[in-house]
Amino acid sequence: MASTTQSAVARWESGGVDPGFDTVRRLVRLCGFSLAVGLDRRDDSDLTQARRQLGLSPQRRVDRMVDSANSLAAIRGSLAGTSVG
Amino acid sequence: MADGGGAQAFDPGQILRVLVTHRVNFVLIGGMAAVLYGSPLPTLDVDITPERQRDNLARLSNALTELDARLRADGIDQPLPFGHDADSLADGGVWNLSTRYGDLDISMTPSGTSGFADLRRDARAVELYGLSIRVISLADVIRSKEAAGRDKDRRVLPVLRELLAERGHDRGGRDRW
Repeated sequence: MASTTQSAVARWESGGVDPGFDTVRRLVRLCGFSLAVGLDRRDDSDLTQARRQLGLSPQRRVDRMVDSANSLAAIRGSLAGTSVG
Repeated sequence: MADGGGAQAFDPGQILRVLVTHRVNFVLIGGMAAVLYGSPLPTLDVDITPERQRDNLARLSNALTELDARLRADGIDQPLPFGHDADSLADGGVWNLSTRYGDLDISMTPSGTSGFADLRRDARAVELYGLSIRVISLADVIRSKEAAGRDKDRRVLPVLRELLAERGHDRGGRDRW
């Protein structure tokens, strides 16, 4: 029904081969769905930070996250303490 | 801090240490897994999917007792007492808990997945806090966040997809932390 072979599907699944856009659209239709595609304004700020993170060891990435999380929690706590009716 | 309240500092190392000490078989999922793959967005909890075998859930129950785990819910300031054993843990799909070291979310079957065995297949080991922790693959982090579709998931998905694409272009990247 999909007019393809198991080995071709296996290559898609392993990431060895990217199926073309038309193939993806056809497979999505065969599964009973329609494919919606849209455009968003690109924002690389998160990716820039992520690349910086990747220069750290996994432990340092988590340590920085924990520092950020605890700082945010402290700020929220102080805001909650000062926001009276 | 023994009250399990919400004001304690988040210390994921202690949560992981207790789980490992009790020999709980689990994979790390969610926001912390995303951070390990480079996400710059912090998370305020540890998310795990445990193996659903009864003896493993019994060990998890023992770990939760040591962590003084309590139930947390939106709109309730103080976490609620939480009685648990292997059977009751198995009966629940998701447990949102507050522990003496911060929040711990347990999801038996994260959105878009079929649970531990599904996620364990491509999980990778990483050393954190001197412990060997199994972390689900970046592709599986994306899969579960796409299926969950919450605002916080949608917020992080673009950068995770970019990171996955970059790892894919670098053939050695799949095995690199």
